[in-house]
Amino acid sequence: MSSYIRSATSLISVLPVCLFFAVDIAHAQTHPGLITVSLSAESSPSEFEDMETLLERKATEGSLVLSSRHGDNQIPGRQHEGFTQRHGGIPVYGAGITKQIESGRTLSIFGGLYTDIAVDPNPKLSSVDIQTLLEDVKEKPFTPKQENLVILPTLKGSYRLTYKTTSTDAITYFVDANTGDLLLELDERHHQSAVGSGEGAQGNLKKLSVSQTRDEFEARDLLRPSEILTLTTEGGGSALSRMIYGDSLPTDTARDTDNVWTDSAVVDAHVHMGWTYDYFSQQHAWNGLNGQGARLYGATADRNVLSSNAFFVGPPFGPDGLGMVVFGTSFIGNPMSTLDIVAHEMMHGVTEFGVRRRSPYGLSSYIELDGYGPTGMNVNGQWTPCASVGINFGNGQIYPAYCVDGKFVLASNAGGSTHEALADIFGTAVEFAFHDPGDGLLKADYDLGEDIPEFGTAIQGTPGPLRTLRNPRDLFVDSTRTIRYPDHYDRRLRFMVVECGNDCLALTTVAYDGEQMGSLVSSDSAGVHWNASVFGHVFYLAVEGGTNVTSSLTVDGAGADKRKDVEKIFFRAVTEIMPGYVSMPLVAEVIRQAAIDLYPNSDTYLAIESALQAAGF
Amino acid sequence: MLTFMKSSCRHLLITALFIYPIVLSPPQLSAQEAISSPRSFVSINVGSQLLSNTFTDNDSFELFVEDGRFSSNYQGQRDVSFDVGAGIPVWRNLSVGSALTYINHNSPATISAELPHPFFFDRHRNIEGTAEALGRREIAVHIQALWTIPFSQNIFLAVFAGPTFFNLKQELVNTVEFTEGYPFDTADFSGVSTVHASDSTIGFHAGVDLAAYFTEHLGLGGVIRFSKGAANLARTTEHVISSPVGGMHATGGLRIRF
Repeated sequence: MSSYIRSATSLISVLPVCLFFAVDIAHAQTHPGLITVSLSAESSPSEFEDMETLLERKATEGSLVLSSRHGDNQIPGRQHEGFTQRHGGIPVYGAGITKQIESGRTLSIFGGLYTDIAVDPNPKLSSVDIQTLLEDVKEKPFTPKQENLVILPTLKGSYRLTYKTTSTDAITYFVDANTGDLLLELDERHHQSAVGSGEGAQGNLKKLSVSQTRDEFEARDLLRPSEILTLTTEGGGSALSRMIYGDSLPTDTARDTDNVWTDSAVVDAHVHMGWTYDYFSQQHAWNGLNGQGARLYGATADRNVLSSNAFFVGPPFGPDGLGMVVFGTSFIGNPMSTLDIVAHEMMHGVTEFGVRRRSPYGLSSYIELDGYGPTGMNVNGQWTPCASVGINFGNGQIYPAYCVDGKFVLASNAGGSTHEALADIFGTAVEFAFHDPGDGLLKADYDLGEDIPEFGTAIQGTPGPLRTLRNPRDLFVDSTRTIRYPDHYDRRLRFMVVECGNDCLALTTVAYDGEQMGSLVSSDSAGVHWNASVFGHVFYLAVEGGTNVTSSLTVDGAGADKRKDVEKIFFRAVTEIMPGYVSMPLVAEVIRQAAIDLYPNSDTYLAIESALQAAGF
Repeated sequence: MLTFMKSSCRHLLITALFIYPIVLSPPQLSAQEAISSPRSFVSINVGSQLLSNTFTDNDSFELFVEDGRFSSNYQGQRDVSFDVGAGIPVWRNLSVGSALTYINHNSPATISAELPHPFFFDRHRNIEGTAEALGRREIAVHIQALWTIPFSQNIFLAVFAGPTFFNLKQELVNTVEFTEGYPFDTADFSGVSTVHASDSTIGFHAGVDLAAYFTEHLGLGGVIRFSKGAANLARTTEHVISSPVGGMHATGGLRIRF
């Protein structure tokens, strides 16, 4: 090991993935057993017949089980079915199929199935054993919130029988049910990650829908069909943990004595949750986060509890076990509850529940191997071949880069970035629903986080947004200012993985954007927020038109007057069609299908098609 | 206290003017004297208000921490009016007398309101509706000087004018009722709640009275009277509405002379 990347020495704290593998170099680019299914209106009848035959056979074998069936919120008469893949009665994590049916005819099939699974479904370890092991590994009390057995397809192409266990801090652990090895950690909180500085100014008067108790008012919206509560974490981090775990107290609800609310964080969070609820309800006939009108919880937290961040945490967390959104405070004291951020986080909830209609695990945030990078990179100003690159995780050990044929093997997280892309798109859409278009504070635009410009200052060096859908290439992804946001599938950020011994692969913070390798301050769970800009830019191009910088392809947008139609297409894609397992090309196909379903042979469909092509799909 | 005193005085005055001509008028007059000098008379008329009194009440209210507005446009209605009067000669063709006009009817008011939105500032919802059959009772006591022009022994035209004491009692729209539901972008008018308000005021009147007698004492006649005043109706202690009273009335009926 002649070289290593010193900037990676602090990465051990954000390293979320360590996967065991059975080496299968020939199929290192994708899981060898994965069959991606993508049949849409553009597929032939014979392709549908062949797939139906395959699915029927798997259903007869018991390896494909109908897990859900729901109607269509947008097109009457249509049905959507979700099938979960099982092996020996155990669900295969992330695998499943969704079908769109009309009058007995299948219109689309999307999803992913794994083949050649050879795993004994009977675990050697009990769930109690797993809890004990986790407490030893994590060195903290561990209270499983939810646990079950799942088959986990690993990065290197094998399958493991695992306990999927989610702890009270909203981290999901996959632990080998036979060996007790910790295979995978997933942060279930969908963050609006942010670092920066600057000055935020809101100051606009808003109305809060609250409820009155005997001698005070509390932030409990009873006017909307779904009750909306805004909680505060005045008890500090322990209060937030308690709420996330499901124990909210009556005193957690934000309150005011004279109904003239002075806590701007509560005002923004409560009002913007209401507005976002209105948007989903009025534009998409979607009631609340889960579509069923469940009570909606939000919480505000000061920067001592949650600094420069906001997140959605899905079921089984939240006071009613149906998730909640949490808004922190920027490092200079501005509430992280601007309209686009609130809508972003709430869209995570809609995505979670929308996909769960067909797939029990929702849209899987899952890190997969995703092709190869260059044969080497510059380390400390010197070009270094892949085989000589290593990463120091700060524990004194240097882990070698995982190379195949002399090239870096890369990983990405399509499910996570799709989650974030949808959140960005609808964060933008909600802004346009309630603010006047324009630049500046409280204006609707295609930027994210622009009303808290200190983030822009911290990352870009000048006040501005965190991300932008207009031209993602304008912004760097983090303060290292080495890699820009991608606007094209070929520019998606993929991350170097290293071998960490004992068949372990670990994700690093070294990213490849199709042109260069760069070391970033974090891996962002394999670039979930950063790669979100690809589909975010597709949305922008489909509405406004323009030229994709990378492909130089020009798109005739549907126009601002058709923005709502474009929004409906994306909303349909996630709430009606999208399977739990996705790749970015599969997401593109799902969006195409949604466009054909809603606006066939229209300018809007052509705009979507053209925008997808411009972004490399 | 002031209202009570005004009302009491008016009652005494009306009583005196109606009784006095009957008791004090001379029992017999010659034909020559009838042409040159008017005699005491009593008139009993029924007719209609030719021009209705309309007025508008504009008010604001607070709803959802924002000011809303409503407007009630009271549509006066031409309805039956009763008019009784009397007069006695005092000098040559000049007489003095009194008359009372009584109108009691129900008339509608068209309502429009701008209701604040529960979720947003400056996004008012407009509603419109009609409040049917709002009661209105108007009593006018006219003190008048009459100048009588005899055209023949039995046909007289009297021109008169003088002050008028009005008393108005009006049913007013107090609040607008509406129904609304999520997403609260519209609301529907469902009705009103009302209060009764009254006021007494002084105005003036003028008009003509054409009478034709077919016997020594009985005849028929017609009156056109224009009166005008403005009553202040207190819908609440803080909100007073000005309503016109009087108007143009045409009535006809029996004439009795003495």
